[in-house]
Amino acid sequence: MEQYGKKGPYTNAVKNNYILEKFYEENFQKKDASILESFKVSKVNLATNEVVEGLETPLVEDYVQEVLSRKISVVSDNVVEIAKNQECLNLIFYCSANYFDMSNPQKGICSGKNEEIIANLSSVNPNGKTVVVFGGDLLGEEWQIKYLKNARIENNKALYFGLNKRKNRLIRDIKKFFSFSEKLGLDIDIYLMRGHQEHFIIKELNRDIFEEVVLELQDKYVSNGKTKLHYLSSGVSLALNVVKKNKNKPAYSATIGLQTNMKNKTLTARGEASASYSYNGSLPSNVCFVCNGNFAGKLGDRTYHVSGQSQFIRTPKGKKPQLAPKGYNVFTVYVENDNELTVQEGGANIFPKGLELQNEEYKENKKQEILLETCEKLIKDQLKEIKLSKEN
Amino acid sequence: MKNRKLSLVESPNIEKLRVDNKKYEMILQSAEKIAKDTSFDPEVLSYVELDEENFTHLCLVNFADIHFFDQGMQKKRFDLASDFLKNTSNAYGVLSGDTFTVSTLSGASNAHVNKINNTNSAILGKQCLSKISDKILFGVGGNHDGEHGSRNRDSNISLTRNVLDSINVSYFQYNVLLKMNFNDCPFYVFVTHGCGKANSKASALDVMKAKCSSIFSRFGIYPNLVLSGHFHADVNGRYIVQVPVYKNGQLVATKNQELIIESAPALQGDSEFTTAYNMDMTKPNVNAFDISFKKNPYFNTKTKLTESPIIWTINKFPLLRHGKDELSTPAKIYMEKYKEPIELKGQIDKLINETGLNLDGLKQSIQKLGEEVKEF
Repeated sequence: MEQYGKKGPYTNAVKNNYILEKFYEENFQKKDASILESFKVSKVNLATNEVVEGLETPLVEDYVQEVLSRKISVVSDNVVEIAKNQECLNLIFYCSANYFDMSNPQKGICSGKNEEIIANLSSVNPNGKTVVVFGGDLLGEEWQIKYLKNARIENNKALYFGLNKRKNRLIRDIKKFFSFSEKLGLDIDIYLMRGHQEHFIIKELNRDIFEEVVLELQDKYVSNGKTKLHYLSSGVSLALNVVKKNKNKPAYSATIGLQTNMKNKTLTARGEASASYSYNGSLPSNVCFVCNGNFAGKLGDRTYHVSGQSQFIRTPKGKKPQLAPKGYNVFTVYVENDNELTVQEGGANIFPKGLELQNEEYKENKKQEILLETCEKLIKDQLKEIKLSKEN
Repeated sequence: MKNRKLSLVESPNIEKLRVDNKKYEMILQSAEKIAKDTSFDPEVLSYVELDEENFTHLCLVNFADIHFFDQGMQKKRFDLASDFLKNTSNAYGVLSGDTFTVSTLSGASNAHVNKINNTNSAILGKQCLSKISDKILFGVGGNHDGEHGSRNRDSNISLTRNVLDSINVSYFQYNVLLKMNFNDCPFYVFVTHGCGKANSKASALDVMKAKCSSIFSRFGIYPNLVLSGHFHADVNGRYIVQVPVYKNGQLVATKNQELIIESAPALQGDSEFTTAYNMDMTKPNVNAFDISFKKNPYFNTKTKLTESPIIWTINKFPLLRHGKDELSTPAKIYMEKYKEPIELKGQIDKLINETGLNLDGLKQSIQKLGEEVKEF
C-alpha cells in the first residue's frame, strides 16, 4: 500500500489495484490456521497476474469432479422429526434480509432491538417442534466490486460492506435465534437454504458462505448428539420429509416443499404465481413455502408465499418502490395423517394469558342472559294463565 | 273522479282541448324519488358495528359459497363448521354470498342438477341456518342468490334475503363494512361476494384487489380485512396501503396499514360448471380468523403520524381437515379454549324446575292492578 501514498498520481490503473485489494479484504477470508480455508481468490478475473501466469491445464478428472459437485436434488436428505410429546411443527421463515444493502435495507435493522426475532419466537407453540428456515437472499447484492468503485465516502469511510461483514451479520442472527429460543424455553433447529443471491455469490466468487457458517457453528449448537444447525445444500427447490411420531399409533409422514429461487419483479398475484413456477418448478410435496417472492399470501391450495425481512419489494426499473408486507412468515403445521397437513397461518401461541378469567366472566354474563330469558318465558306463561282464568 | 282534484291545462297540440296532467306529475315525482335513491345501486355500502367486551380475541368465520343443496354441496362439512361456530364462545360468522343457488330451467344455473329443488333447499337451508342464527352477524348477496348477476335474471328473487329475514339475520345486497370494537380499538372488515372472472386462483386475488381499490376510494374506507368468495379459490394476499392522516382538515402524513384480502374456499365441491371448464377444484372448507391486537414496537412520539399505536394480529386456520370430514386440529384446540358453556341452559332450567320460581307476588300485583283498572 506504500506506493499509493499521499503523493499520487491517482490514475485509474493505480486506483484499480487498491480497489481490488480492498475487495479481497472485504470479501475473502484471510489466512488463518484456525479456519478451514486459506485466503483464496478463485476466479481468473480477480486473481493477480502471477497466479494467472502460473496456472496449469485442467484434466478430464477435474471436469468430472466439478460436474459431480454440482448436485441438484428434489428431495432433501434431512428429515424433520416431531416427537410424540410435540403437538405440531412451528415454521419460522427468515429470508430476503439483504444484509447491508442500501437500496433495500432490512426492516428493523436501525433499531438494533431484534424485534422480529423475538416476535416470531414468542408467537410459536412452545409445545411444538420449531424449525427456523433461513430461506436465502440474506447476503444481499451490494458486495459486488461495482458498488465498491461507486461507494460514497463519508467521514473518511467508503460506504461499502463486503461479504465478510454480511457473513458476520448472518452468524449474529443465527446466534440471536438460538439465544432467545433458549430464554423462551424453545427447542429450535435452524436450516439454511440458499436463494438466488447466495447462488450468485457461489457462481461469481466460488464462495459458499452458508457452508462456511454451518461448519463454523454446528459444533456449538448440539442437542442429544445431533447438531441443531443444518444446511440444505442440494438446491433451491426441495421437498423435506416430516415425520410425526404418535402415542399408540404409527408415525405419520408428510412432505413440505421449500423454494427460494425468486427474482421476479412482478406486482400482481398472478405474476408471482407464474414466476414461482418458472423459477422453482413444481414439487411433489403436500404443502409448499416459497421464499423471496415479491408477494406475500396464499396463492394456491397448498402454496404459501412468505414475507421477507426487506423494506421494499423488488421494483421494476423506473417505478416507485413499494413497501413489502410483513408478518406472514410464521406458520403452524399439524400432521393430521399420512400426507395430510393442516397449516395455520400464524403462530399457535394466540391464546391470551387471561383467557380463563375472560371465559369465567363470559360464563357469568351468559348465566344472567339465560336466567332473564327463562324468567321472561315463565312470566309470559303465567300471564297467559291469568288471562285464560279471567276469560273462564 | 269525484275524489280527485283535477289539474287542467291546455293541450300543447289542440287549442280547445284541456287535459288533466296531475297524474303525469305524480308519476314523475315518484320516479324522481326512486331515481335519486342509491339504495338499489349495485355497489351500495352498508354498515354494521359489533362491540366486544368479554374477549380480547375474536374469531370471525367466513362462510362463502355454501350453495345449499346445489350439486356438489358438502352438507356434512357445513354441519361441522356450524358446530364449531355454535360451540365457540367468541366466534361469529358472516355469509359472504352464494348461500343458495337460485337456479331455473331457462337460466344459466341448471336446476336439473341440484340435489333438491329451490323450495326445499330454502326450507332445509333455513333449518340449518336457524341453529346458528344467533352467531351469524349478517349475510350478503352473491351472483347466484342476490339481486344482481346473470344467474338470477330469470327468477329475480333473492332466496338468501328471504331465508335470512325469516330467521332475523340481517341481509345486505352487496357490500358491508363491519366495525369490530375491541375495547375502543376499531377493526374494520369489508365483506363482499366478489365478481368477475379469473383464469387462475392467484388471479382471483388480483380481481378482488382491483374491485376493492375502486370501492375503497369511492367510499373513503380503509378496512383491515376483506372477506369474499365467488372464485371458490382459498387464496389470500397481504398488501400495504397508505392511509391518509388529517389534522385540522389538512393532509399531514400517511400511515402504513396492512390489508388482507381473502377469497374464501366454497362449501361446494365439483359441479357441472367446474368440470365443463376443467377447473382446479379446491377442497370445500371454511376459514376462521382469530383477530387481536398488540402494541406496535415502532410507535413512538417521533413516528406517531406514520405508525399506528397498535398492530392487528390476524391468525387464520381452516376449520376442516383436508383429507377427512372432521374438524382440523387447530379448530379443535381453539374450540376447546373458547368452549361455549352450552350445558348452562340445561342446568339453570333444572335448577328452576327443582326449586320453582315463585311468581305469586307478581300474580297478586297483576290482579290488584286489574281491579284498580276496573274501578278506574
